[in-house]
Amino acid sequence: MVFFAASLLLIFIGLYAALVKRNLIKIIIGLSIMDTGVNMLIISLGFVKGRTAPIISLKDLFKKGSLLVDVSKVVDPLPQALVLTAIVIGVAVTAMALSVVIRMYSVKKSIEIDDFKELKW
Amino acid sequence: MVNPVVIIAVTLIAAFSIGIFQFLGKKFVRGVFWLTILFDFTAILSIAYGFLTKVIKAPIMVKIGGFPPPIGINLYVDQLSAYLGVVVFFIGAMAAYHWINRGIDDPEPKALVLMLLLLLGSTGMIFTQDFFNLFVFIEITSIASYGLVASKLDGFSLEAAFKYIVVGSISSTFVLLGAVLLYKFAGSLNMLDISNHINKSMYSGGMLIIISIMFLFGLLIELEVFPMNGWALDIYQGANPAVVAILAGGIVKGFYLVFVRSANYLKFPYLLKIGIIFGLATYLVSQFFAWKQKDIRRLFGYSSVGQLGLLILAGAFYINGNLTGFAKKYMLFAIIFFVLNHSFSKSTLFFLADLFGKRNIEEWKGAISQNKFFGFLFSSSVLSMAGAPPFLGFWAKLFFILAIPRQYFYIVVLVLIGAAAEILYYFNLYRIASENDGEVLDYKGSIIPSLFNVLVLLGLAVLGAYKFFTITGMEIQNAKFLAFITVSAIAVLIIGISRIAQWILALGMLISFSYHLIRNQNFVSVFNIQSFFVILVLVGAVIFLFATYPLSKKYSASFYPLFIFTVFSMVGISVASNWISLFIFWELMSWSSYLLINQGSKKPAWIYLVMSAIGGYSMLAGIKLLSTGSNLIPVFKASAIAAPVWAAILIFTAFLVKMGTAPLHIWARDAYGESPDGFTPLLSGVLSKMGVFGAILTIVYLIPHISHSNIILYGLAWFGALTALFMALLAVFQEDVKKILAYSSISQVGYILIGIALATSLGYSAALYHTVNHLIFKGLLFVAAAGIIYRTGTSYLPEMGGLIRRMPFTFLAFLMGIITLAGIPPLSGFAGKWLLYSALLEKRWMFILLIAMFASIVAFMYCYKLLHAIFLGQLRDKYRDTKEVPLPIVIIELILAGLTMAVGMKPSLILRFSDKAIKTLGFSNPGYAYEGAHRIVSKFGYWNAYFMAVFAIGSFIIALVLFFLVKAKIRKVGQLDIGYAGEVPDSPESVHFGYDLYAHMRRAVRVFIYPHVENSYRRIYQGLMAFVDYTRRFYTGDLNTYALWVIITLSFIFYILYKGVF
Amino acid sequence: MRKIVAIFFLTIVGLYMLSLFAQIPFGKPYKGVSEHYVERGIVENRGSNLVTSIVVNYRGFDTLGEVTVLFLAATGLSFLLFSCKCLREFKRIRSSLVLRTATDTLFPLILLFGAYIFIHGHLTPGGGFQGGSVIASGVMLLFLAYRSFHVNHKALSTIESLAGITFAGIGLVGLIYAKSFLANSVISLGQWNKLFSAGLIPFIYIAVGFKVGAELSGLISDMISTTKED
Repeated sequence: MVFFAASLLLIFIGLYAALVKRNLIKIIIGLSIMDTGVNMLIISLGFVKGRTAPIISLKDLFKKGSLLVDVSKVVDPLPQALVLTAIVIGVAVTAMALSVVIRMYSVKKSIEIDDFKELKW
Repeated sequence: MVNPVVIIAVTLIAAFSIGIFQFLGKKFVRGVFWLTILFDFTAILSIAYGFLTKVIKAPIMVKIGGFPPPIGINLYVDQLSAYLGVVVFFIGAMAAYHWINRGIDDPEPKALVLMLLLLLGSTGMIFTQDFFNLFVFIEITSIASYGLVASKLDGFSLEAAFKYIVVGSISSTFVLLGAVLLYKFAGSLNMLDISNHINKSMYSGGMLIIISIMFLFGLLIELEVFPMNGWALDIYQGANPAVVAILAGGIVKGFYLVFVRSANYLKFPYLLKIGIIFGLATYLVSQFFAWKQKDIRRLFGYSSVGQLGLLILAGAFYINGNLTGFAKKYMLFAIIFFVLNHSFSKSTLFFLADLFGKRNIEEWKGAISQNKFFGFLFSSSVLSMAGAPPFLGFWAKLFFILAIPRQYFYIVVLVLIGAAAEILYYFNLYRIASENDGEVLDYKGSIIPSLFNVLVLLGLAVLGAYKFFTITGMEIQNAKFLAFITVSAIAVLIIGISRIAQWILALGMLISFSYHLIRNQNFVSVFNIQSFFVILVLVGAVIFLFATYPLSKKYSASFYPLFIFTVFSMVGISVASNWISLFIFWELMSWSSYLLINQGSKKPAWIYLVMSAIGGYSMLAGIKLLSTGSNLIPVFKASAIAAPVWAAILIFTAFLVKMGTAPLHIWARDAYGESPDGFTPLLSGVLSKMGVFGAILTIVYLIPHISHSNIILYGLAWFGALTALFMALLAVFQEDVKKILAYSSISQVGYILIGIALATSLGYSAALYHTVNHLIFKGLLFVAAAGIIYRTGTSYLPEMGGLIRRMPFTFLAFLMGIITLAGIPPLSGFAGKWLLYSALLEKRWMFILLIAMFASIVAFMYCYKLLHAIFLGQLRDKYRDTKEVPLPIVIIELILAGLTMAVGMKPSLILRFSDKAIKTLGFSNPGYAYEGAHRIVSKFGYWNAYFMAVFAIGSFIIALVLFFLVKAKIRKVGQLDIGYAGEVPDSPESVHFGYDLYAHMRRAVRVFIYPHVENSYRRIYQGLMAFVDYTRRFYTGDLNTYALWVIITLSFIFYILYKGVF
Repeated sequence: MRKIVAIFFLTIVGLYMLSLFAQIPFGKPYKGVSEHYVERGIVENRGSNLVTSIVVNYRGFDTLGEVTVLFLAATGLSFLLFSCKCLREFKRIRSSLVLRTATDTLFPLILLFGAYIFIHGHLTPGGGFQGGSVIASGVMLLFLAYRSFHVNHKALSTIESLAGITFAGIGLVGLIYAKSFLANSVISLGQWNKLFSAGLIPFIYIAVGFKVGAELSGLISDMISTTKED
């Protein structure tokens, strides 16, 4: 539960940055924190007490005498796979956001939101 | 039939390979790009076609990697997915073409890669059946669009892109969390598998509901709903229009399909609630906020967002609304049509706006009139968007309204209010763009994408009409007739080079149609109220069309086609078999007449359109209340009606608008007064009578179901009487020929309304007689006025005078018309007045009788004013050489004048038809009787028309003889040879007192002619505008605020759907 | 003021979500597809790393999407920053001797390590993405150390594209020969725990490793070149 709460806290800190901060880079950092929180949350969803990582390099993780793995010995591998993808996607979005901000800086010489409020009502 | 995964694979390989090919040059990359698009489009078209022709019988499932779901990921392509895929790729191709031709941003190869992958992402999104895979494809779509939105690299685009990135990240966070939590809940990520694990009872606990809310909320953000759609509006305003076209026309529809499907898979029980709240809110807010919008792209953005809201509403009902049978089918078609209509119209509008270049709508002055082809494309898109028949938007709205269940009537009302609001601002833009002077376009770029889109739209219009008539099961004659009308109009349009040719063709069509009608056995055998009006319409149309001949040289090529549309839609109204076909042709008539009036003055046309739209939608709401039966189409003879009073009031509104009854009359003076002179006779003589027809239908079919109908009818008669009186008073003080005649028309129709409201046979006789008679004499007056305006170049009374010398025939005909209008025997007007007063006496409605009589006196005042100001008095110098009005008009004038005399002598010419019609309304006798050939008897007395005519003519002849006898003894004096008070006049102007003839009376009646109603409307409008201007500042442009609203919306959703926590 | 409102609504949403997570037991055993992935992971894939078998084989389509996402980001970024001297006014300072020396020593090791990671993706923790990132970090080290360091964009683009085409191409090969896209039965699965095992997985992951390495390096280069003076 602690893990869940901590991850949620990270997510909301990231969201808070997007809602409150005026500096564009800080907002991007906030989004990045949010991504991290989400990934942590997903990983903790997959954890099972007392089991080991899903790397089968030892013989005693198998069921007796076959190539079938003993499920009760291994943590859930699926969330880990999902997080792998999610991390990469997060990186991609951050990269795009940063390039947009670099361009914005070159246009307005500022990275504060107040200078970018021309599209409105 | 292509394996859908190949589409994805090939596109990916192509996109990757552009990375290498970019070093080989732009042209090479473009080639690869177009080849890929072509391949993808053909592939997906073949799949869609396969579904359409039932070659593919079941949805396609593709197992990726060979693993069965839920172990592996799979694609699931069904009908709707395939169709949407076609739309996405088509719009994508058009937008890419537009962008490349307009000058694509450098480096071009990379932009094309982004474009390809955008299309790929949305296709994958639509096809996949795995929640996490969905997330991945959503991200592909989003990231590609982030780059494309920013592509213009100016402040606006970058700002829009950044806002999009932030809000999009929040959205994808919730989608990701939702997907993973669904896995935790159900054990897999496959949509079907999870769906099988869920049943609705699980929603009473706490886990599933929060998970579903989170997942669906993430998708909802992408659907641009209020209040978290600031980012979307900024994209519409700031980004490259080609990109906007793809996003609005294709990509967001993909999100929509995914949203609705996911809610279905998750068996989300609150979809209806969410759909109603957010769909309605988004639609209404956008359509009103757009009123004050001056930037054309943001205006289109508001419209798009609103349409999406409507789609969400429709989707929610379809999945979650317990629709059955026909309603469910209708809703599905409504959704499909909305998607198709919006995608093709809106993208065209964005292309055209980009080509025109000007962003402020004030700068669009004359865009349509100066650039014909551009104007045609623009008009088609706007009309389709706004829901004018026969375009697709109309059928979509009709299906939608019919499909909504009865207990949600308030939604019907709100949607129709939003639709009227939409018409208001779209056609304000149209008004500016159709002004007669403006700039000629000089654009860089290709008009081909817009052309293709409009061609698709036109094809879709046909599809829409066809599907509507077949799915609802209405008689196929309606569809055939509609097709006939459209084809005729197009035929007339095609020979638009020569007005004469158009005139001949149109006239020929009308005459041959009438001929075939008369020969048709079914039509002749039963002569009822419908036949009465059909003949009225056709006869009036032929007469007035004939009279347009000399005026037509100044008209645009679309005048005659629109004339044909209007006339035939009026025929359609008259022969309508049920309320819905009545509505369809009613709307067709309103829109085509609007376009005709718009060829005159723009602002009055806009007011006319808005009032007609309000009337029309009000009628639709009333029809909705009547709707029963399995196919939800209400027929005229209904056995029981649930809320007849409201239905009657709502439906009546449409008819009262067209009849110009106070207080719905404000459009009439200027619409009549400033419409093309060739059209006004039709407008006054025939079109207003369609309101009469509708009123008769309502009273005959609906009023019997209402318990205290006497009070309602009495009230209606009062409306008629007050209209008759006050409009006549207003006419007295006008200074423009057509405006006097305009007020006079409404005043006369007020009489007709009284006659109908009496609902007795005598009343109907009076009404029907006056309907025909009014066509004759008002048509005569308007045609004569058209001729006079044509010759003198002005319609302003103080500038005319003394024309009796130059236009004797016109004077004669005009005099006949005036006498008829005033109701003086021996001409035909008297019979109408006689019948009406008898009917009022019969029912003892004395006050109304008094008002009607008083109104007749007032009518005489403006009649005389017309005669005096135009024909009598001094002839101005500039008119010394004016010729008589053109020959065709003289012919028509004299024919009509002759008719007034003939009917005056023998009223049975008209009455015999109205008798037959009245019998079919359920009365045994027409309320009066004939004694002999010429004597008409009612219980109050009799009159002999023939005798009176002889008497009058005899007196006239005696007076004439006396005049000639005395003439020799008269000394002739020149008109200027007078002196009074020591002054000798030297110019005609100073002696002719046609100006402000009744000035001395003005003070007496000032209270009554003060524009109370007009001012009220104006104040309401201005008040609404001010309110909109204030509230639209909700969109502050501040990213933090927009993101905050996302969170606020989520809290709101949690709060109303899940009460468990607090 | 804005802060208070934001915190208020964030708290509301947070509490709702917390109530959800309070109902999810932490550390309890899982049911569903993962049972299949774990139990039959070795039988069907012969690769020790179960996560890799999921990522590349069972859910290979997601990985294809992921690869596309990264490609998109790199393309989008280079599109947006094309010939933009946006951050002209920021000069890069000369790196210290320590950094340069360390880089000279570490760079080849980093490359080797990264290559090791993506080659052994099916045997040890890691894989194409991780390995590629490591390689890119090495490249970034070079950028930090030497202001005159340039990458050959043509070469990077070519590697990137070829690798992507390889991945999608392998998928199509599977479609042609084994009737389903990204089928892993085209070549033999080999033996568990050996380098040459798990069918096509190592090949895919090697391609991915190259791709990610090239892409992230290009990404870094594009960003840094907005500051450079030429």
